[in-house]
Amino acid sequence: MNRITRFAPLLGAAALSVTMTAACTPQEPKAEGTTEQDVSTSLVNDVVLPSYRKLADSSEKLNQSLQVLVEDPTSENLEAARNEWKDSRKTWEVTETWAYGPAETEGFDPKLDDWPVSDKELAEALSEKDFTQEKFDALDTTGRGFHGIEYVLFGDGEAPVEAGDLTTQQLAYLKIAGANLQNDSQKLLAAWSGPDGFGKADVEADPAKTINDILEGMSGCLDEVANTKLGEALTNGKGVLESTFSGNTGADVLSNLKGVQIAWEKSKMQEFAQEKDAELANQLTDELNTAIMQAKDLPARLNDKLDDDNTKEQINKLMAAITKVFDTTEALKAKIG
Amino acid sequence: MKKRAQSSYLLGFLVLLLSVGLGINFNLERPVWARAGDPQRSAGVMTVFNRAFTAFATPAEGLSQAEFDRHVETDPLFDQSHIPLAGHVGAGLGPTHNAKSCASCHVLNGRGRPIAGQSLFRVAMREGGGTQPVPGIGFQLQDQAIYGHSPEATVERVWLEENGLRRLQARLTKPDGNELGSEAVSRSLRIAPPMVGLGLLEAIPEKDLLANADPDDRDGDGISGRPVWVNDHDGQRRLGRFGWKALSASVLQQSAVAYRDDMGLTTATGPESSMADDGLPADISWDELEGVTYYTQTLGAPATAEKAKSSLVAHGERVFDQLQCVSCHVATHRTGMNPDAVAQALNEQTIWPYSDLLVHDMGPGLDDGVAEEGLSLSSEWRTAPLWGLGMAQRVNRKVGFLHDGRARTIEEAILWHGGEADQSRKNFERLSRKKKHQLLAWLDQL
Repeated sequence: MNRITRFAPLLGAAALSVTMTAACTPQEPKAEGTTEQDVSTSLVNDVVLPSYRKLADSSEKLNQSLQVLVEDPTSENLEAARNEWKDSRKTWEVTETWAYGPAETEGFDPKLDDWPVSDKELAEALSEKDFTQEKFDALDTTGRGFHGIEYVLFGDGEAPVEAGDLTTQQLAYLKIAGANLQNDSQKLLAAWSGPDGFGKADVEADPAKTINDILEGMSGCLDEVANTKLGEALTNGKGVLESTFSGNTGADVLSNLKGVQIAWEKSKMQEFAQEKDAELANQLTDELNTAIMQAKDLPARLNDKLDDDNTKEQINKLMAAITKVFDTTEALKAKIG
Repeated sequence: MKKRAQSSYLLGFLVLLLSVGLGINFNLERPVWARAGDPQRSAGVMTVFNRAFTAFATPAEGLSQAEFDRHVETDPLFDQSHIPLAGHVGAGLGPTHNAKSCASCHVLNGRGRPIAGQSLFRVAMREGGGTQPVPGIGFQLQDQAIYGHSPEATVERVWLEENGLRRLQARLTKPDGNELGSEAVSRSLRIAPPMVGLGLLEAIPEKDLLANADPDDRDGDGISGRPVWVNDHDGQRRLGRFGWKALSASVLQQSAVAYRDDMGLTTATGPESSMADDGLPADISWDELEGVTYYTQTLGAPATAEKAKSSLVAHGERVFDQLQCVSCHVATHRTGMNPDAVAQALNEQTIWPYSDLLVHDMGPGLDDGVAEEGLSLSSEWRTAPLWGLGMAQRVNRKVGFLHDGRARTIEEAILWHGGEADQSRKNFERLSRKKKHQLLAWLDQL
């Protein structure tokens, strides 16, 4: 009893101290404005899933056009298949910014878009008597996907391909490759979808990581476009340009940059960043718009005009513009990532 | 009496206000090894403050502009998809192989999954203790091939569950339809290890690593730690540091071995040569080999999620210490001073890899019968560095742990520890739920 009485003042002081300290300790401000969870949910539901649905739909259309071509290899059907290839290609290239998760870890990126094309293996496989599913399965991803189809549909870039030039083996290849591309596109969508999919189970479940992941995805895509797709082409010529067979590199670049813009604007990332640093966020928006405008001005069949001085200057200017966006993204990452 | 009570009130109030004000939260004292520096900066100045999906693929901090530029320039070599080449000085990919690029196994520079294309099988004849190669195959099974060729064998993988843990049963079938039976041929699945801080591990002075070796367990603590001696790419005998069995002494040697064994690509024998060991033009030039080596050496390691002073870290470190995990997972090292280092940031850094880079007998549960040319016992494994451990499944959600990815969680990996780590595992199993959580939470933030 005595001991309790003796310590009573100390205990009382402790209680008072804790109460006062608690009262004085700054509490976590109630979440206002855009939260990490908002960005995370929006990335999955407003950006990634719609984009992969578009990819699945467009790859289905491409596959259908290839099946029509195989049944009836006319010039019109060849042209229609080429156009579907280009349309479908846009829906894939726009997703490069969020090509993490299953695109990387489940190997969908190489399955759909490996580069370079293994032309030696493809040529060998297509020169044999019949082309079968078994032979297709024996090809690595460097002989399949968008670029495998491109190689057959557009030719190797040396001589123009006419519908009548397509061999039975090439047509058999297109029939299998088209279905394979559609199948992989649908699987990629499925891998992100549903309660156990990557979108819900990983991205939405770990919102603190999303901000960094988006900014890293934007940086990575900008870096690849400026330094690899455009930079290496200027240094090493059109042979290294991805989508060189179709001359579609310029469109690829534009789609890549639009993907960066979609990730930035439609995932609520822009809002989130603006609340943290409006000046930097606005700078990024402006610079990205400038880069996209410049990319839109790239000439058609960019690949064939790499020796042209005006085109070189255009590419250099675009690379500089993309580098600016990259630097701003990095600055933003350092600040809020 | 009244005056005394007032004094007590005042004293108590001041003490508590002061202690709370100064942030003294009566944390446990940190183990000695944990006080050597700042474990949050796991790679010293090369620490990468990025815990996004690119955590392992980000250039190290602390590089000069020229070093950074070279890192960026050499990065594509790691990603490059190799193909069989027509009209090239070498033949290109294959004909048999396990992968077509470094990045296809080291997914996003992290570890691979135990599936085809992200892992491979090492094999050996069971007779002779797993030290002899399999005729016609060697020590590594190439389970993929370029068009027109057959892989050395096809693999069927079945995971068997037992007591909450899983173990692989692999069926290997040769192109002629004959099976490579497990009674005659041992097989050891290996996932690609993560590309974390390899340049820094290479820069730890050999003598410092040997100081932890105790192959005959003379101190009687049940932990041996055996150095593996190998011939490096230049013929010099050096301490093996890299790979699941520490069979490579340098990043360059490990890169050349991966090109040869994993991708079927020959490498030039030296800077003045365009020829490979076999006397034929090399698939990979010396510049490319040095380039991919440089890229690897200048990757950092991610900063831990928690600051060193946090109570989560203090509690986790303490359990790690109590279980004596740190006997093999040596927490910290200091890199040496090499004026010719490829990046100056590699020099004189205090780093936190949590490994002694020595091999240890891990018991029968992890003994898969492949003894790697006799350089290690089949039950011996190099202590796996733990830096970046918590990022492994954030980078690649389905990766597992241990050499074959059998452990789906870090806890499962601990439960597979046997041999020299048997006592530590038993002690882990006896921990309260709270202490287990403290340890696992700490490991998860590495």
